[in-house]
Amino acid sequence: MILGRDFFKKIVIIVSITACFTLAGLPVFAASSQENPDTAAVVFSGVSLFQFYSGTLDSVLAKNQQDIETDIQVSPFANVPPAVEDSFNNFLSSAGNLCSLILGLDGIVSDTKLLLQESRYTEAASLYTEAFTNLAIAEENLDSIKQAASIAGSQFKVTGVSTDSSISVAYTAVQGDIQRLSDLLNLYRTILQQQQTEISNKSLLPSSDITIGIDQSEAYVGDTVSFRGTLSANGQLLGNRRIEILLDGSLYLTVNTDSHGHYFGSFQVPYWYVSLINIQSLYFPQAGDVGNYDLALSPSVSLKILFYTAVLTLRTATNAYSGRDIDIIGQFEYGASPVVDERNIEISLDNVPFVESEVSAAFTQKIALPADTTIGNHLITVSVLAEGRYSPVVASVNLTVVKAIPVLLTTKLPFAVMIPGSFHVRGKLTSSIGPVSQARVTITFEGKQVSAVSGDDGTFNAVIRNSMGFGLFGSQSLQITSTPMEPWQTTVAASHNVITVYVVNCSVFFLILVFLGIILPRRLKFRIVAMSKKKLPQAIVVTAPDLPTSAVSSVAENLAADIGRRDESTPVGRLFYWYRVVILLVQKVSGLLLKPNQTLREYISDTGQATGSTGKIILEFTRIVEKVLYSHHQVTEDDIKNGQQLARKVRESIGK
Amino acid sequence: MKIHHALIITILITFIISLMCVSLFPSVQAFMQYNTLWNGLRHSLNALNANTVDTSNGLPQIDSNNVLVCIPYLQYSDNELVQLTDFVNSGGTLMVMDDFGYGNDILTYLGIDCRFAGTPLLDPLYCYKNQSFPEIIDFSLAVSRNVKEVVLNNATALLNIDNSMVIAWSTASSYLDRNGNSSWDEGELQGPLPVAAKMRLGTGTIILVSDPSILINSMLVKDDNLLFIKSLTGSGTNSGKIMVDTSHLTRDPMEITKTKLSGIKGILSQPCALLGIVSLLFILASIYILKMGGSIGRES
Repeated sequence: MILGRDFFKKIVIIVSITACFTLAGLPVFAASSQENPDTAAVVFSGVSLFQFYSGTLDSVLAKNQQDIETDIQVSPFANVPPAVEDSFNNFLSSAGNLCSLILGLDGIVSDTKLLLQESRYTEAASLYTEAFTNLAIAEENLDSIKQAASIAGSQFKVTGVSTDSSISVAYTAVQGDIQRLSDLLNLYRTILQQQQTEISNKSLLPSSDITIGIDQSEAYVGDTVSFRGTLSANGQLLGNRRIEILLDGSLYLTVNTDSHGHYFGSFQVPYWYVSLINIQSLYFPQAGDVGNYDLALSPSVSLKILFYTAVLTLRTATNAYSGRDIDIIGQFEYGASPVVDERNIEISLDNVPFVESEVSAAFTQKIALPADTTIGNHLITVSVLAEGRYSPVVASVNLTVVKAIPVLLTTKLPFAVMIPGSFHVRGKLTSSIGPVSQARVTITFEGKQVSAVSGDDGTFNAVIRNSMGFGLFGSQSLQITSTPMEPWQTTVAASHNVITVYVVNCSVFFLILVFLGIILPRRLKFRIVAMSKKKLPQAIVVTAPDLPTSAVSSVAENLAADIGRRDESTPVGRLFYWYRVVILLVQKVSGLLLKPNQTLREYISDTGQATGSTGKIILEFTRIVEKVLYSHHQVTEDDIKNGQQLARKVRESIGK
Repeated sequence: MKIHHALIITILITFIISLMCVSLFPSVQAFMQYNTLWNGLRHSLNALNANTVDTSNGLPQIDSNNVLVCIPYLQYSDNELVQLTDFVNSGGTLMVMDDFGYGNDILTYLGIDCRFAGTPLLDPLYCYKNQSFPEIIDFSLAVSRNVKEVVLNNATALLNIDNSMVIAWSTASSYLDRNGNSSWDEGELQGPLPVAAKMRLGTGTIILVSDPSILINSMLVKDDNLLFIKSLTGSGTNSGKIMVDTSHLTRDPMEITKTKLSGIKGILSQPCALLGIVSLLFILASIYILKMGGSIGRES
């Protein structure tokens, strides 16, 4: 079936429909568990904000400063409306301050209570100024909290919703917490006012006086120091009273005054390796003295403390390796102090103790770094405990833990390899700390892996056997990876390019090329020529005598001679007329003339490129003419009609 | 032109157009390695320097220092579960990222008591834009200090897990919305809830994350999500690579075609295939040339 010109239109329609189907086949979005974060709607939750406010205020009421600090730390991540952001931050900072102030007020109230019990009225009175100031600040912070809650309430329109709604319930909880905090502050105010009144009533008590003195101004740690002093009230010595001796403000021992109000004793200087210790004596009324005498604290007396010191200097290697030993070299310098033969040291790595030892003044201590020690800077600390008059010594040294990077030296590596076949890869692994022994060496080539283990001298030898592959030739990467056994060595990898020749494939490919490019065309051509020769002789061998007069001579000459003449008297002439028309058109298109001794078929063949698809029609016409020229065929009216139609087609096709 | 010639040409054109469409149209399905849009993995895989693996025909040989990431939206077969177990037993790290998929099947098979809750984790206060994007701001020391904030996307939580294994928790304002009404109700679990955990299993390691969505292109760039994933997988600190198993994700026909086309491209780039194509072209060219010459001769 021959198709018309509009067939291409049909193809376009078919293709368009197909394309539409293809487009329609695009994936349908299935319900997924993801949402595009860039286009997601912004939604704020008033309920969660008020619940958060309420939770924070509960923490303030519970005096849980840590929870509030956590809330403040995570507050930047909260999703709150921009209009509420400032008040949200104010709320948190106010809640933090309020909690801190309440804790401070708690402390003041309990301290004051203790001071009152000890009749230390003057000290108690001094706390009140601070207490009332803090109370005022706490109330200001509570106001900020109220305001923040109010702003959030307006933003989420709490007043317009039902009281049963979750947002209203949450907001009410916040208001309740605020009220409880307000009540708490009022309670503190009442307590403080009551205590203040109590102190005012006690301020008229007779004042007490106490003195202290020591028999020496300096002493070694561990030495004994004697002290003495008196206790009096309104100029009268108080006997049989309990006196506390304070060292640097802390109770160290107690003594009693004798019947004349004098006290004395001695104490061992504590092993505090400090330059000075302040000594005081304290009297506070007890039993029957409470309410009759005021508390008395003596001026402080300084005692210079003496002890032996030493300086420890440490050295170690610049770099260390995880899992390997390192030497810590130390030297004690005692200066003018007597030298100690042996001292106990404790060695810590990053403040984690892991070795204890007894060493002399100059020592070298070997320690094994844990295999899991991370790469980087670490701190080695050597601590020496105090012993008698010798103060403790601490010294540190920085340590850099690194991994040794092995160097991979390949001593035998082929430049090119033939496949199938095998080849050796030899090499040596060394690092800055010597040969890398027992390392696993993995060689990857052509998708195959071969492993070897390095010897004690770090050398390795691997044989790679390659079977048939699919390639031809080219450069292939040979990768060598070394995984050392020791934790202080790092993995090292190297890559080399090796020219690979697939001998069998190349041979086969070459043969295919030879077959396709040379042998096959030649054989086919030979066959075609042979076929042509079988047919052609019959046409060429036809003898002239039997041919019509116009065809007696060479066809070419005949046709050339007839060109330009119009002879419609004979059927042959009429047929040749149309053929001449065709030949003229062919000459015009191809620019080639019919040569002498050239057959029509050869001429049509030579001009085939110029005539293109019309060549088939010309060839069909040529067959009719050849039949007339080379056989006894008599030209019929059908031949002439057919020739005329063919000539018209040729003219239509190439004559345009 | 005859009808059968026209049909062949039409089929060829259609086939070529189809191939072009498949190649050129962007992949739009979630978690797909060729999808460059918000829900794809293309940019994420590049950022993590990760590869994809197809385990549908068996788990390929994976180095034990690599991390195999499973997003089990399709069920794992028993054979695949055996292979996952072998991988973990050989010292490998398996990272199961699931929200509403088949992650619990894997955990059951591995003998781990922990479970993915399978219900949405919502956080109305600490969230990105809305409560479906919970912010995670509480991490254990196992997570890098540089990770301050991670955003999840329609996630769930982990249940029945020892606290020592948990490496990330949701905030106190989060909750598991079991009845799906998007608000907290009495009886629904409230935060802090575990969302990521790490545990040893034999010589291997299991990492659980209750939201695979943090891997998608639009989420990995949010806050510290990339750092978090790198911290979990040890990316950059060890020599292992992240291998994402894409064979247990739901895929549409176009995605399947894309994958197959990519496979064909890979096969065609092999030397043997190249050799075949060259030979075929030689044969076709020779036949054409000979046919042209032969027609002259035969007609003579």
